Amino acid sequence: MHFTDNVFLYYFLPLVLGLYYASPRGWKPWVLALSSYFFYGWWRPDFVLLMWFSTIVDYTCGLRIARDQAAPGAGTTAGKRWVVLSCCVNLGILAYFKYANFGIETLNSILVANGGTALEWSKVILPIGISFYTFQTLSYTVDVYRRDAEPVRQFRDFACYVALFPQLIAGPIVRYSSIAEQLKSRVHSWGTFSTGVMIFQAGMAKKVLLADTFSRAADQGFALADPTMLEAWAAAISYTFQIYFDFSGYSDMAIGLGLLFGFRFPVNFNRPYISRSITEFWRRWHITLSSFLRDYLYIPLGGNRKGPVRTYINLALTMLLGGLWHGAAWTYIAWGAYQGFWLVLERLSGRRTLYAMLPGVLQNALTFVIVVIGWVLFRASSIPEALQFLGAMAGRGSSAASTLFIEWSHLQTIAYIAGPLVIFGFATTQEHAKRPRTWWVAAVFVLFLISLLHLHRASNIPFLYFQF
Amino acid sequence: MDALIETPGSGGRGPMGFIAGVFVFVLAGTGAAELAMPPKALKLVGQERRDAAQSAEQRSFWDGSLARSKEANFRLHGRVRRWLAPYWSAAMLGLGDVPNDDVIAGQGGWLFLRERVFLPDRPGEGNGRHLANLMGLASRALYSHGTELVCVPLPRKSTTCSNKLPEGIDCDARFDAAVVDALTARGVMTIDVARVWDGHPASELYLKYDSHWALPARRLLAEELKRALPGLREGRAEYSVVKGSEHVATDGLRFAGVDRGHPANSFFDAAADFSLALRPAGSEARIDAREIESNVLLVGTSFSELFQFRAHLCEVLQSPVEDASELGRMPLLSLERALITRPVDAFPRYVISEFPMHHAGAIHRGSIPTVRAALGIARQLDFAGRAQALPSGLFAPEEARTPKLHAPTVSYPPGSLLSSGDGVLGVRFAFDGEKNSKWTYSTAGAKIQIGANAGARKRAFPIVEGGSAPGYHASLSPTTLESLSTSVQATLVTDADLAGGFEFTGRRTAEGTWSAAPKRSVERHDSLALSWEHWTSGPVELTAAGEDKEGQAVEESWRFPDAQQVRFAIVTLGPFHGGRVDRVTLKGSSGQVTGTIAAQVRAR
Repeated sequence: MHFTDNVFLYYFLPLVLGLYYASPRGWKPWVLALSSYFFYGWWRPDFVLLMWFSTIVDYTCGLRIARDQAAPGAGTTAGKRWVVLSCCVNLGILAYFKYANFGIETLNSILVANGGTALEWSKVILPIGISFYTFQTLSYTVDVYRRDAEPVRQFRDFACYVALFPQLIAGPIVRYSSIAEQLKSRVHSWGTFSTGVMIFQAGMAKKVLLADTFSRAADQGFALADPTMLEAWAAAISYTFQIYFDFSGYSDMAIGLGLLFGFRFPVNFNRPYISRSITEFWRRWHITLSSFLRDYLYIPLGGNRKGPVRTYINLALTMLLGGLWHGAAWTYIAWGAYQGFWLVLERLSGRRTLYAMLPGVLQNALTFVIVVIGWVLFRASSIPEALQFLGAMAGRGSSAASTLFIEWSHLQTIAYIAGPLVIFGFATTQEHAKRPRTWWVAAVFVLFLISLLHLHRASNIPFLYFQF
Repeated sequence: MDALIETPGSGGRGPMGFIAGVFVFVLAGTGAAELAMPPKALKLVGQERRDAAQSAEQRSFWDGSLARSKEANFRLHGRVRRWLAPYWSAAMLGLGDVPNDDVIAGQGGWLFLRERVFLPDRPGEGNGRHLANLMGLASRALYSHGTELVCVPLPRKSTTCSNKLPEGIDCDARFDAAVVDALTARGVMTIDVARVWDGHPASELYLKYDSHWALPARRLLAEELKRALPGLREGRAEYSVVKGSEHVATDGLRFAGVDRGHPANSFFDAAADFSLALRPAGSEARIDAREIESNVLLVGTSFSELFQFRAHLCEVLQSPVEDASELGRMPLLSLERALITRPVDAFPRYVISEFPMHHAGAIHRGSIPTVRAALGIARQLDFAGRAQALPSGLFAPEEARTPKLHAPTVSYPPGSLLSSGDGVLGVRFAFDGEKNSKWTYSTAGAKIQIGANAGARKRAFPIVEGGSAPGYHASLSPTTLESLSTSVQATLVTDADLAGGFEFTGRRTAEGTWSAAPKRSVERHDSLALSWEHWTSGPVELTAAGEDKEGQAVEESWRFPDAQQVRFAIVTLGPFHGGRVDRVTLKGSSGQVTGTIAAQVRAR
């Protein structure tokens, strides 16, 4: 189910809110878990079984780890076998569903290129949100193993944590340790609820009115066989805005929905496009993924504790795997490598050295351009297409006539004025929600209502991060 | 640890708390209303209609299509969509945007249907040639009974009002001209409406928010028909047109999401149109009931039916015009329906067939209803009876085949039947079986199911080409077990009177090209047939040169790049109608060539 589906907005959400608030305290986790299974199974009921499997395995592993660690004479590695089992199961599921097609296709192309016969293979369907919930369940067993979190005793709480529909499909990645206490006990108040409503509304307006408007120029531009330089830049910048409003809009909606049920989720975006370096960008963009990769990959690899060379390797490897996490394609790997390259370069030369000569605004601009170029790798359907598109951005296109702007509308112009204002000029949704002003509350509500109307007209454009 | 979202310390009072209450009320109230009182389904168009059709088809629980179907149903038919969304669509249009891809918002608010601006790209098909062949077939069939078919392909809004399109859009205006040329080349009397409307402002040709024509455009066309076809006019001086009730045609707005009858329509300055009525009162009904004899039959589409084009024709021609146009019909369908209801001897002298130009782009081999209509017209007008058998020696002998289901029992392979593809060549099947049998008849321009009743039966089908390679073939395949026990024999036929035609010979040049100078006048639907001595394969090219009825030089070529085992070709001489053919050349033949210019076999 999408947050922007009518069925979700008009049926599912009111019904679940009603059931949740009408049920006794002990039943609330069950209400959330069961409704989340319904939410998840709405499009593919069979994939709920996979989630149950993952839930049961990690719940059991968590208890076993705690039991091994509590055993008399337990060493620092007590429970390791269970955390290894959890990692194998979760990463195995992820590898099969997310990377099997990619692996077989790559192998087949090598086989065919060398005169062999391609392997017969039926495509595996990617369960929606699998990248997010496997990371979350994995974080649970690792946190328990590291003794950063107590194992959950009530199965209903763990089931609720894994399946929690507000953040199930596309994050933010909520680590178990972040909401362990909230699972046991939450404060429900009209104030929290109202804040959740506002953040949800703002997120929906971002997605429906801005992201989907930017997607038109982005989709058209990337579909051009031979874009002009202007078209290539317009499409790349449009996609840069689209992916921000799409993903941050989704995150806002998820955070807002969490608040409706008393959960406080982690902030996922903090005006990433005002960053003055790529290092800073990754502290502001998809914050929960960045910190997950840092804590569960970069630091276990050795972080910066094993000398500069290992630090650079760890950094590059982390970003490479971060790219691969987004999808099984060479473009994502290239994007991860590109991000890793800049992070290593900044670390190598020192951020100050690299950018110090430039005034602040130019630091912003340079970082923004680096990010935009990165998104071209991310958006393109193949590496050659990405290179051709980057060539067009560099003025190497052969086309002289521009077609991208033929059907440009005033509404798009409004979006292209409002979008950058929201990105660069205003405070974040979370900051507004913390200190709400009447004009903001009213504006967000009106934009939300317009979004509801807009959803009935245009075909729904799925959230970009649903595919990850 | 990631920083968690912070909430304001104060409670939920004030505007934020109020809005939250409204939020819950709006969502829950709307959902409850939809459940308690399900709204009636809207009549959808365009993308919404396609979405609804798709969601109705896929309703499996396990693959999620049932869920998506519920979502689509809510989105397309819910109260918010019905009552409120049209206001937002209107606002989007006001900002020069469109809520979906069905429409293009042009300059000054003009709306264009996208599928009529950018015609479907079907390589080798849908380029107007197929429809021209079908129209050629219908025209020949009607002419054999003394009825003249007048084609009126209406140029697209995007080509005639191109100055209202967003700057930079290429709507391929050449397509419209190519359709007119293709029809003329098949000898179909065709009105070049673009020429008639040329120089008139967009507002006089098409309606701003609708895909149909404006009143002055209708008048201009009626006047042109009067000028081009003097025989249409009876000069009775009794018909006049009066304006009836006012109505506003805005189907473009409907495609853009502003439903018909919704208050949001009032935001648009759509020019009012009027329903028209013919005087004397009741004339339309009496003409259509054939209480008043009419020499003119109008067949067509919503352009005629919704906008009372017949009334204009009656007034301008001062002749009774029977109207058999039907809303939403593809070309030839309304003509076939009109013919079925009358005896062959009660056909009008003229049939005016109006169709919007984009229909020509939509007709291809798979357009079964239109193909069936054309073949049905030929059947109704006794193609089987008129067609004469061609000597079997002109065509490569068939291989003996064991009958198999869905495999050709009779097959003239690709490249073996060289014709202009407009029905001048045909194939007659003689069936003999004890049971009813069913078959698939297939050419490059038709693939239809046919039946033969038990006993000895004969059926003949004109061969229509579809413009897609490989062409110039015909086959018949059994589709039921009963068909396997039915014998079938095929004979190639033509409705050209070759036996009574003008025969001529020529000579071969040093390069091997055969050339002749028949210098023969050409009447409507005359044909040119060439036969040569030895079987040839490879490219065959036939060229005729001469004059049209205006005395202008004309040259027409028919190319068959992949001819196989051929020694006969037959083409219609449409462009030379009223003029003459001076010279004929043939490349790719071998041995002695004989040419014949023949008139059409007329009905007895």
